[in-house]
Amino acid sequence: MIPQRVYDELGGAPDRSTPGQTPINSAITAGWVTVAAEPDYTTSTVSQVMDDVRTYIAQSSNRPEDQMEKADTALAAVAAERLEEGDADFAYVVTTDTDAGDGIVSALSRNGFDERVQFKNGFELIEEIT
Amino acid sequence: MGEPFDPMGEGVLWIVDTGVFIACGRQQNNKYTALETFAQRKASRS
Repeated sequence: MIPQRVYDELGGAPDRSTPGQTPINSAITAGWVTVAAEPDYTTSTVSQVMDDVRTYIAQSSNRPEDQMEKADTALAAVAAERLEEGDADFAYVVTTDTDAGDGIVSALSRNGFDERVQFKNGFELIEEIT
Repeated sequence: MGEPFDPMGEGVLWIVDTGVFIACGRQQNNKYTALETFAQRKASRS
């Protein structure tokens, strides 16, 4: 599953590229990738998790919060919502950004999802499966 | 780091970031096909 933000970044959005010709659209058509519905950002858990992710990454990487990748918080928001609603028991967050991965796990753990989420380094995953 | 749960088991959600797909490249790339195979294997067990 990918957040809508990730889909947009990969050129899936019609205003970014030619729909149907990007690998991500092929993956969605083939059924092995789904795009998550936009999380309800007014939910206290979701908004708190996103705030915590921003704070963690800002502190660990000295990145100003306004210059952070929006996909990082979107990953956390999707995970929080799915776990809270019981759509999933556990979540693996796969990212190539170590600060983001650690921040997402830290934020989710602090907001009631301890031991229900794990960061998987994207480069390591690719190496393991290729 | 240990595995707190079965990564391929039922009820496990994989949420993937932009960089992973970029690192896998185009559809003809063996990394892309490996990711596809991995995801389909996971989906068939869910």
